[in-house]
Amino acid sequence: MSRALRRLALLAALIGLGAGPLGAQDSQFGMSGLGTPGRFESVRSRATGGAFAPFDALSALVDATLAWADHITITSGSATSYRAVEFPDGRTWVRATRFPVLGISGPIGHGITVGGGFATYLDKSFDISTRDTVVIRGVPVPVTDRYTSDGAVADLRVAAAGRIFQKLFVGAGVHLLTGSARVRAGRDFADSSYVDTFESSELSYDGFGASASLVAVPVPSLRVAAFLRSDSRLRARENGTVLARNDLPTTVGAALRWQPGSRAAVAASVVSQSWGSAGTNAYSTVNWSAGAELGRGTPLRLGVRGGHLPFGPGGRAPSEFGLAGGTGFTFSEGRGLIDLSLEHLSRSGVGLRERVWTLMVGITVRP
Amino acid sequence: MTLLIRRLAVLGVVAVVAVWACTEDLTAPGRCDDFCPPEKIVMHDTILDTAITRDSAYGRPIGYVNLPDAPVMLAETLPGLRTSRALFRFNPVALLRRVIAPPDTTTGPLLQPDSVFVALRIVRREAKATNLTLHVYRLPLTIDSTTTFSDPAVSDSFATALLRSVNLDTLLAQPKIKDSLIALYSVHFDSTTDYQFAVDTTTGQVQYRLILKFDSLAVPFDTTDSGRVALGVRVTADSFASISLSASEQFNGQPPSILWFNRFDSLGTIVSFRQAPRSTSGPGAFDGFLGTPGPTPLDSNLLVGGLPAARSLLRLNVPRSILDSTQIVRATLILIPSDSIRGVPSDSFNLLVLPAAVDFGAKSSNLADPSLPPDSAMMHVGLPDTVQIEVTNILRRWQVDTTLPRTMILEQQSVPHLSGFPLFGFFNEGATLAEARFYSSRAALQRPRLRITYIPRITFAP
Repeated sequence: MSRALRRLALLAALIGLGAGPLGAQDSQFGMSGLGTPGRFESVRSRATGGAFAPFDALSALVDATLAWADHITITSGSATSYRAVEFPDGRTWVRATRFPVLGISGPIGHGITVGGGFATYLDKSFDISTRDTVVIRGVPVPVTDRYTSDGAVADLRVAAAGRIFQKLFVGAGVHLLTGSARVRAGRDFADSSYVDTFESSELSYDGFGASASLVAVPVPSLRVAAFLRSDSRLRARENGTVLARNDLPTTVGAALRWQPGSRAAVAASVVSQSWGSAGTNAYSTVNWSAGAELGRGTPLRLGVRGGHLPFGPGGRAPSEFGLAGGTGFTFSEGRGLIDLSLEHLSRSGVGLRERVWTLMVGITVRP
Repeated sequence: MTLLIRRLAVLGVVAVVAVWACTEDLTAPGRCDDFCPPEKIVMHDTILDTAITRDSAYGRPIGYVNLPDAPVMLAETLPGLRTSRALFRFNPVALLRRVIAPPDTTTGPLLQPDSVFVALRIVRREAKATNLTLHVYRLPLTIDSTTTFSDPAVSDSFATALLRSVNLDTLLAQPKIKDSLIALYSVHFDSTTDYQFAVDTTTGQVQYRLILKFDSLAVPFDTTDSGRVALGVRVTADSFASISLSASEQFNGQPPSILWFNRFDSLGTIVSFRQAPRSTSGPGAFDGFLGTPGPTPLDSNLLVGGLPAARSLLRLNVPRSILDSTQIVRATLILIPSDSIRGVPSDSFNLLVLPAAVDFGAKSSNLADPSLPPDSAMMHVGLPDTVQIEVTNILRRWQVDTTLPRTMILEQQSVPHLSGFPLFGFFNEGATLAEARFYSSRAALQRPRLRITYIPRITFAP
């Protein structure tokens, strides 16, 4: 292993050791539903607004792209978000760090490449504090309620891909959805006659999904992807007792990537998800993205995305619009990569706006 | 070189971001109902009218503390209410004879004393009393725990054998011979009588130590009784004539003591000889008090305190739906007095509510757990309003420990008046004749009640 690779491994370990628990939910809108869906995108794809994810072997969106992984590849990323939560009469900032994606892939021979890893499927971490005054025994008593949840549903993926024709790559994968959340609800009283109290529990989740995809290369400068994923249901349990079963969406998407020259590429994608059957305050969504990658070695990546979030109160889906940019660095003749990305998202729903800055660092090693 | 610097810069940026990112600030404001989790904290408040059943009072005629075992001796003269008098007998002196001229071992008798000092510790004095006067009497040596207030020998002695009367207010007005600024207590000294009155605040509560000087006429040295002496104390005042004297049963107390300064004929030379002090504890000694009227018997109500010290047990039947499945945030025991608390203002006491470790009726013991401080309410003399005592700790303990009996013990605590260390399980019962009576569950409209505020189990949203 070269010195640069050792540095990368050391850096990856440094990030891993410093990792805290999954933090605040990506969006406060998700609290009214099952959570905030994760993005199956690598850091480099996030820099393009997600437009390049259907063509990125490091992303977990399209299984067929694994076919391009001609070496064992390990990738991971961390994301730190600073989110402004804006109510009509107030605004506050929250900050959180998470590690939304980890993947490993490599060829096993006979033209087949397998890969796997995990990604955040639904983020369920939040910490909410409210103040109120309740009348107890005829006397108004100020109280502070605090609701916390720490956990997520992860998507554990095993997928395989290969080239079945000269210009056609196909892939398929299975997804085990699993995770847990430590939940706690407590009330503190300003009057010491009352005992502060809380109740906690641990909820566990499981589900199953399958995905299939294909990427066509009609001409060398053009790639077209189509993908389909169906997730069964999310089952929530508390102490072994099933609390709820929520339908999970079917995801359908398509994407286009055009590379007019060796130093420039553009891509666009559209993804539809049927979250509308996942319970109350849930809506089916269509999200789009477009992006470009300019230059080689240390490229400049730009992207824009838009669409809706699947959960939110008020009878309509919150809208989302984002801009992203980033770059990457290559080490040791391409065996090590560091990707940096900065993303800004604006979300707007009934009674709430969010502005999110997310700084992401991705590390990829090809030993 | 340029490439190396660039790589180091990139690694540095990444490392800084990685470390910086590990601090989190998660708390976001909640705008319920739209932006909070679906689960809600709901509180219920209910009065359980019939939760307290099979409540009983114990402690009469034999109490948890009885008169001879009381930690204090009460001397009170409260017209129309009660009268009590302290009486005590010191144990024998150490020596009746001593060696006349060593090394000759021939001994001679000790002569009548030059002076005798008697010390009394007053652990409670009614602050509102004026002209509070102690009257000291000589009593027959036959006094013991069977002596009654109407015993002719004792009553005659209190009528005829007055030795001294000491006005405490007058004594307190005497100049100090030791100032509390330079010592831990102040001593007021009457040079005409050699009486001393020390005001002691070292225990955090004002207490007094009274030292009276007698001569051999008042307290003769009777060798036929080994120098034993029995004395009695009666108090008078313009009003609120009530004091408590420390008894030998008081933990860390200071019972009455006597100090003999005998004389001795040493080959024709009369010399003084100081005996070792004697107290009212030990073989041959006794201290206690007598009062009238006697203790009221138990009836259908709940009784706490007094002497003999009474306790009451409440057995609770809290619905399992509350005790097993909710978070109890407040529980209040509601007691309605059936009678006033009689006495002087300083007779006020704490009414403790303790969880029972076992329920054996009158022999039930309270739970000895330092982490569970007893719930209490101050009971003032007079007719109290409805008494409300927070018992949240007890009910929450019952939720944790399901093996405990659902029984509460009502007990009296007079510790504010005493200097004893408040050791756990030692609450100085029996330090006052004041007692509280409450309606029991036999009284349908005034029965004890339990008010509970609780939060039902939260069903977390998946």
